Amino acid sequence: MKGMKRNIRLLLLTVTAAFLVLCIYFVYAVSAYGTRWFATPYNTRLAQAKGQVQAGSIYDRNAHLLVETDAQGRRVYPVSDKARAAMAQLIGDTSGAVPTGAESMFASYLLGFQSSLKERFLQLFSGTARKGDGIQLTVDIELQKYAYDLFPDGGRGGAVLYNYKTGEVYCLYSTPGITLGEPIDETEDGLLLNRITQGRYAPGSVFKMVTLACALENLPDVMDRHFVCEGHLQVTEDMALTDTDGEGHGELSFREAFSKSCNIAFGQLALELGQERLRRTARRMGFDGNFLFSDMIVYESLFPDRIEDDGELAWTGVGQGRLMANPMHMALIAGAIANGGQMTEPRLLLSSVDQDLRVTNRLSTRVHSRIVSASVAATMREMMVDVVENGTGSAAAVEGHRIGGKTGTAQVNSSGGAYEPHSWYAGFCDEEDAPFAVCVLVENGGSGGGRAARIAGRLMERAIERLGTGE
Amino acid sequence: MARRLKRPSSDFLLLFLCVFEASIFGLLAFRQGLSYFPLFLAALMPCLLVFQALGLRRLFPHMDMQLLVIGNFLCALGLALLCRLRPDKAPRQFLFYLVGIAGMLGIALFVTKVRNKRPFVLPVMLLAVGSLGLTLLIGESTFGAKNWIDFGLFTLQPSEFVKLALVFVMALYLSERRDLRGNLPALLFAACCLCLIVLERDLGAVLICFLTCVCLYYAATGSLGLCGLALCGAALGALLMYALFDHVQLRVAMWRNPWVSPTEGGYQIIQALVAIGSGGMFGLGLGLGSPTIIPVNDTDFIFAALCEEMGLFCGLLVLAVYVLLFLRAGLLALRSRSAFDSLLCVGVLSSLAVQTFLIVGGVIKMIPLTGVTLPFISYGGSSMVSSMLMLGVLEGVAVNAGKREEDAWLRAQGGEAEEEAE
Repeated sequence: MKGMKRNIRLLLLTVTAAFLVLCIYFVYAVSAYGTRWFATPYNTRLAQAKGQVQAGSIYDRNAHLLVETDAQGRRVYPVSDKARAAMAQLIGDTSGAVPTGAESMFASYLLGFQSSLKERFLQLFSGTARKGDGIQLTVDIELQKYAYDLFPDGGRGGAVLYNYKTGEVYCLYSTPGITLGEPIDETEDGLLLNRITQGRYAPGSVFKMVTLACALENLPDVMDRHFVCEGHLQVTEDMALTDTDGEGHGELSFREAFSKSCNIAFGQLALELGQERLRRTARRMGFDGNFLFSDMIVYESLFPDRIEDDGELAWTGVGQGRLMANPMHMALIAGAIANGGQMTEPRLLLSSVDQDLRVTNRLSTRVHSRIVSASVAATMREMMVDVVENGTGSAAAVEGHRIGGKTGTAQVNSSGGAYEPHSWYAGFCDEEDAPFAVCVLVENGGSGGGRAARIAGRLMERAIERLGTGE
Repeated sequence: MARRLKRPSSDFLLLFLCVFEASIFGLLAFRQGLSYFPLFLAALMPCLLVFQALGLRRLFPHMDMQLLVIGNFLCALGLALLCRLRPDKAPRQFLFYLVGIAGMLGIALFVTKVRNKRPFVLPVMLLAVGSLGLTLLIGESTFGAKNWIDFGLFTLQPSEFVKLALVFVMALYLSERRDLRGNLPALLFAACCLCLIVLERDLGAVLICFLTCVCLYYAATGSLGLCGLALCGAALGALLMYALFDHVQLRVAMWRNPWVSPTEGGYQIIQALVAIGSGGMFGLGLGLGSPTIIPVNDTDFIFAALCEEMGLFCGLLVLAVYVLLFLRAGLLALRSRSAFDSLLCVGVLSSLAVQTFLIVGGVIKMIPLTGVTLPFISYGGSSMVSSMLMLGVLEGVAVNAGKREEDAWLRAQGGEAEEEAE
């Protein structure tokens, strides 16, 4: 009988613990995924609510009206044609075909699901048509239009610029995209994608930010090293590492190897570090992680589960192989380096507002994680500034400002034959008055020091003019 | 004169539940125009509760009021949700609730008044195996499981009652002998039932019955080795079932990622998650959401409907109420002096706990979905009646324990009185 009591106590403890776990998981799941579940296109409540609720308006950070609902209940866009095209992927359609668009992401605000129970009951009993909340995005529509101008017609790619101290995204542009207010052209490919937040591409040399961080953390003498680059390195019998131009950089210091983006030096470093250490650093910097930002959907970048041989390892170290990187994530890494190693959670939602633009709910800045130590971040910052001042990123320079960054030229092997490489640039402005980070991707845009760096430089210049707090 | 042992008063709890019932059904009655059935319930449910409380207290002075209140609260919540979700089914469920109350009374009487329960073992065994066999022969299937019989007037799901039969038989054998050989008949009976339910492909019921048996066996013997062995065997069996049954593979795939097929295989679970996500912290308000979109919202997914309209907060509260029920049953098992009574409590407690865990965990996508009902709350006659029968078992045990304590107390008093007289 006594033994039985002990057994029963243990059973009770197990049952209680199991239900505790259930409750904790429940709270975690709803708080982490609740808004995503709600905002899926499979939520028929949204379609129902659209019939009953007048959806709220969308404003930019300077309270410019971008989207509103007219008397017939249709969504209208009282902006110029250029602005409408510039914000297409950012706003998205109302039926959820572009799932990362503001219309879908923030539908709970726009359709009044976030308003308090009291308000809902009052509206129910007063008999007036229910109105959703307005929202104010963190984006600056002028900067958005400027980004639109920087991308030539027919190009594919995108640009993002955000404040690495507050996380506010000032510009999020992706092309090609849907046309707001018109039915979606189903025949064309890739119209529903936001290339910045949902895209995954081979990162090319932009990934050297990760290899650099890993080397600084694990090889204490790395700053004093010298490399000899002949443009070619035979890693295994059938796999050789080459530089983009194939000429060779000659003898280089570690600093120069980074600013000139030498594949041979970074391939050697990757081989020395080994895949375990490289993977650990990459994961800490956000690869393979599930970004659960509350106000923005960002797809994760992927680091291969297992690297087969040294040849692949060397190529991974310079951002090729089976690596896949998300442009927003690369901007977050650049921003975190400028921010002393601390990654701030990016966000698109500044606040929710009522009819008279009074703020009903202001959202706050959140820190996501520390990706590198402050000292490693400081060294990396210096070396990235060196890239723009003396290296491959000179096209991204903004006169009179301290700009740092990293270019990337990602080779794409497609069955269709040889393509131009993707052009990448991720960087930042290292100033208190303008704490901005940027990432630009141009699909098949050629070398990273060319198109992407140029676009990034001009976007940064405009952002500092418009949004910088200095004189 | 025999004074009763003082127990903490439950009048406040009762009053609170009456107010809850009157208000929730009242609210539902005036939701869209005036509907008479909820209004009728708003008046009748509190009366029924008071009648149960007073009547039972008269019949059994030692009954456990807290258990009664918890069970009735969950039933009332289920009925209210049903009035909201499927008003056409609510009257039927109310009838089942009435039948359940009668059943609870009956089984409480059985537990307290029948001293020698041994003669009942064989009929119970035969009835259980027979009904399961009959289901296999003439049963009808829903969602891949062939688990109910259509009697024209009503349908019966024998596996719901087999749980109770298992608890009864296992508890009886285990309370008399602890060795493996002595319990062989009970274990064979359990194995037989499990096999039949597996053949019915009612995997949720298999899990519940199996884990209930393991819990009972562990509580009685404390033999971790054998129970561990059984669990390992079950894991192997689960793998085998995964390999054999298509619908098991589908369930697991849809648990891992329902979003790959949002309109077919993953439809149910996605709609449940979407509903929970729409509800948020405090819900959309009773009657203000659209939980009718959720598939099978009256049985398997009723928890999602609850969370949509009443929010995460109420979902957690309901889980807390279930845990209170389990703890109360556990305390009863610890208090009871008779091994048989203790084991009955343990059996009922583990069966209810496993069932609740399976369905709530499945709905919130913590574990793969197994289509079982949420005890007391889900629509379904068999489920409602069997839940109430389990409540009756607990009440019977409480009465037995209370009576024993009072006798012991009286004896002690009597002893003192005699001493004083001397």
